[in-house]
Amino acid sequence: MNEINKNIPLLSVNDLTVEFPMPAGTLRAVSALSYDVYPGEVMGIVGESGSGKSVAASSVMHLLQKPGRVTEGSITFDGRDVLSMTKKELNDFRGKEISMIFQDPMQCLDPSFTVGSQLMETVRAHEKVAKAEARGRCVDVLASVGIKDPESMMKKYPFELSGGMRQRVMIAIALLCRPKLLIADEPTTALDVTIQEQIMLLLKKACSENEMAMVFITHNFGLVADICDRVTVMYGGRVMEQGSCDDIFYSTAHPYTCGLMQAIPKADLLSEERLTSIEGTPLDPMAPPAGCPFAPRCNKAMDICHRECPELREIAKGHRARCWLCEDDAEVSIHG
Amino acid sequence: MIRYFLKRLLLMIPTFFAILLIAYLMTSNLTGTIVDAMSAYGEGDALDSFYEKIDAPDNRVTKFVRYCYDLVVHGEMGKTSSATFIKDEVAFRLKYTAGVAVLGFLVSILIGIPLGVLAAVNHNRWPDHTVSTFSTFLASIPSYCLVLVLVFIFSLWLGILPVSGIDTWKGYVMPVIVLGVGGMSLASRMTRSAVLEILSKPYLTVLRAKGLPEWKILYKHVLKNAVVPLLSVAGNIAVAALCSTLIVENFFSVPGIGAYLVNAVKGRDQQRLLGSVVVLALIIMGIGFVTDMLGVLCSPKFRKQIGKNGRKLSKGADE
Amino acid sequence: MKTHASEMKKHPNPWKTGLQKFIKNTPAVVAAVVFILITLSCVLAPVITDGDYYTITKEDERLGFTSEHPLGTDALGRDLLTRLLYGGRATLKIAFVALICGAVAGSVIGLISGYFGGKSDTLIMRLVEALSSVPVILLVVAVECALGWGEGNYMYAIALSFIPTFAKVIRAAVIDIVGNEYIEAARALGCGHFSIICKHIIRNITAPFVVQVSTSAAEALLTCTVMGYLGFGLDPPLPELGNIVAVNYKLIRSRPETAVIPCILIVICAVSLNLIGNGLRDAFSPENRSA
Repeated sequence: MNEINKNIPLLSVNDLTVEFPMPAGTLRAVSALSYDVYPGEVMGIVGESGSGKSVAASSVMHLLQKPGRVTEGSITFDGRDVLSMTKKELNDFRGKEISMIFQDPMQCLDPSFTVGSQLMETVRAHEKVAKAEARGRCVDVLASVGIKDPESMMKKYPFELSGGMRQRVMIAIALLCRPKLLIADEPTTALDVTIQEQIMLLLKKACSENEMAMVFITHNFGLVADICDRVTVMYGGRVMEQGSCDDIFYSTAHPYTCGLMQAIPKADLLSEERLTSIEGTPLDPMAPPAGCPFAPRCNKAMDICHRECPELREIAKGHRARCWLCEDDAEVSIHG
Repeated sequence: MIRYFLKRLLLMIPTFFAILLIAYLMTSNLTGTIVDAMSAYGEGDALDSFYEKIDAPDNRVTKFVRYCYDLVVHGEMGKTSSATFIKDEVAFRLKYTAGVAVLGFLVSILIGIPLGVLAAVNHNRWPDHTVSTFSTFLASIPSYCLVLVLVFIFSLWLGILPVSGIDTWKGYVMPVIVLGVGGMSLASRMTRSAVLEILSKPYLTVLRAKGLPEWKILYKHVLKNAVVPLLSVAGNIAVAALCSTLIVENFFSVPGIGAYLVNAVKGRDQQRLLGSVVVLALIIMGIGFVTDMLGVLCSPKFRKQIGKNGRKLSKGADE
Repeated sequence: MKTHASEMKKHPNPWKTGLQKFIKNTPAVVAAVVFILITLSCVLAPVITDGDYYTITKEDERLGFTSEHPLGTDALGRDLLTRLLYGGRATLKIAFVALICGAVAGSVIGLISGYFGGKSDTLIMRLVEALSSVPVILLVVAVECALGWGEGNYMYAIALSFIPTFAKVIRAAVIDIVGNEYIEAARALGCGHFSIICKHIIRNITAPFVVQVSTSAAEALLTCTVMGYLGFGLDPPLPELGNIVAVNYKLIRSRPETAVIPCILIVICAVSLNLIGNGLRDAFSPENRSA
């Protein structure tokens, strides 16, 4: 095993474009998405529903559902090209190198098998270990995700568990083979707020204990601040802004990011400030506008925004944004 | 578990008597029509009093109660006009119906379910299209047309099978083919949609994300989850096979319950009609009971729930 | 992917796009043309033929295909073409009426059950479930016993046999709609049950209703012919597709074409109805509309 080098990206997605051919035309779910994830760091991907964030995540695992396909770009994990892997290589790779947890824990465990057997089959799919040893490991992992009585949990069926418990089991399954990267696709959306908190703590702990990197997908900026090192903001399948957590929160460059952040409820302010939401409805992916995809909803939109889509450009080291306001000749600050 | 079993069994008793009562009331006009037919020959007064006697409402009730009493206590179903016991006639005929229906059921299930699975697994690819087209075409052929074609080929042209009757094993071949073809197309369509529903479940994506090979997902997870829906498909096919047997028997002059039933209707014979309805109702209820119990045994969710409070969850509460 | 399909823009007029989709489906269009032609010739039977489906020709005049009897004569020496057209007329009419009666009755039951829910829903669905387990042949027997013999009374039995299917389909569709917010909004605004059903629900269950009618049509036709074949149908000499086959089955050794021709006609009808049904289902059912 090679030495973990913090400067070489673990996962590198380059110009990824995903399309869904439909009878009514081609739907471009993700266009020219690029991001890097370095070992041990947490990359947040933020966007409204339909912004292509989940599709981007499933293409990393090569799990795109039909008729979706990657038409351009590359995905490199630990020096290997994911898109050109054979089926055999993919099966070895999934669950061992990268694990994934999903949005709705109620639907994600097979109702006909016990928790134990679903854990065991994951271990034994990747490592040739004796049954007793595999079992021991499953019990340990269950205990480490905060399940009180792991022995009896092994014998339970998914329908006997609450949503939070199932998500813990899902996380246990994901951590079993000590992957280098965990993709968490809105892991707390379907859960109660109090349980959300516990799951977030659990994910943070898991990352730091196992030196695991994570791609954390959400539409909730509040969670992003909590856990992420770097953030990618997506809209209409495109990256709108990308940078470190500080860049995004303290030197926000894109009006869309601003809008998303104003939509976070603030508990500490007693102000009568209204919770603002972004006007308009999310983009229709079948008919993207000619200019910037966010222009129709943007309160700072200029003429050029409707005509031409801006490039993603670096405005500070490691901080990129796709907005005409950030071009050199546009001298408008949005923090004013 | 045993409590649930007994409860389900006890619930069948009122259902059975409700069916019997409806059948009795529906068919009690039949005797009336015989009298009508007789009075047409002008045997006036004597018949009028007879008519009043059998058609009086309280008489109908006592007759029904007596029929139920005989059926439950003595297992008798009355006698025919020619003084043979209906019980014996029905038992004799049930042999043939059961033989044809069971064989037809097996043919439908053994061919139809694999075809349906094949179509679902290859959704929207050529095996799916082939199976769908094939089963649509088979579903468009009425059974008697198939009978015509089969008789033409096997009896008249090749001369290897008898046109009708069921004295040797050869007699079973054509009725079973006719039943099997109908049941097969039904079974493959029902199986296809049941398996397609399982294939769309999110937990399969999770299994892929865990790195399980595709064949293992199919043979272990999809198959195990398909057991309960497939059991209900099998139950439906069993009932359908029995019902088609009633019709197919008439084409091949098989002396089974179906032919018995049709003759009873044509002969306005209430006793025979009731006898066959009793038997059919019992068999259909039995099939429902068996598929239900097997479903409970095969589903860990039902098993655990029933173990706890002896009460069955509604099937809709799966999610 | 599901999320993307559901986020796609709603089509302005589902009927128009559905129809366009249907027209692109060549087998379904061909089937529709064939079926319309058959139906037309059956409806126009009194114009096309002389209406003489009962005169029995003498034994020595039964010559097979002649100008006087284009399709020959049946087992009793009656003109086959005339009998086929009149029989088709009777069978199509019975099948159609049975299907529509069953469909409407089943839909009303499903609508009430799904809209009001609760205990009435449970009770209704239990009864419907019980009805669906009764074999069609027993329903026919029951109805013939209750209403008397012949005259196409088995029509009511076939109508009964369609009630469970429609009740289940429409109930599911109604429950789907009632869950929507706009129904709750309408109720909050003070709309009565009747106006909600008329304005919002009927409009939204039309598509599943049409699809279910078209996919059940072939079954209705085939059940009718089977009952006719078994002799539960019209009294002789009235022709009906089923009893034509039954009568001519006796000639299978000497002149099989007399039984084969009506069979072919029935199969063509059933295949085209099934193709039309599949075409409509693909064009109108919601899970296929966007994918």
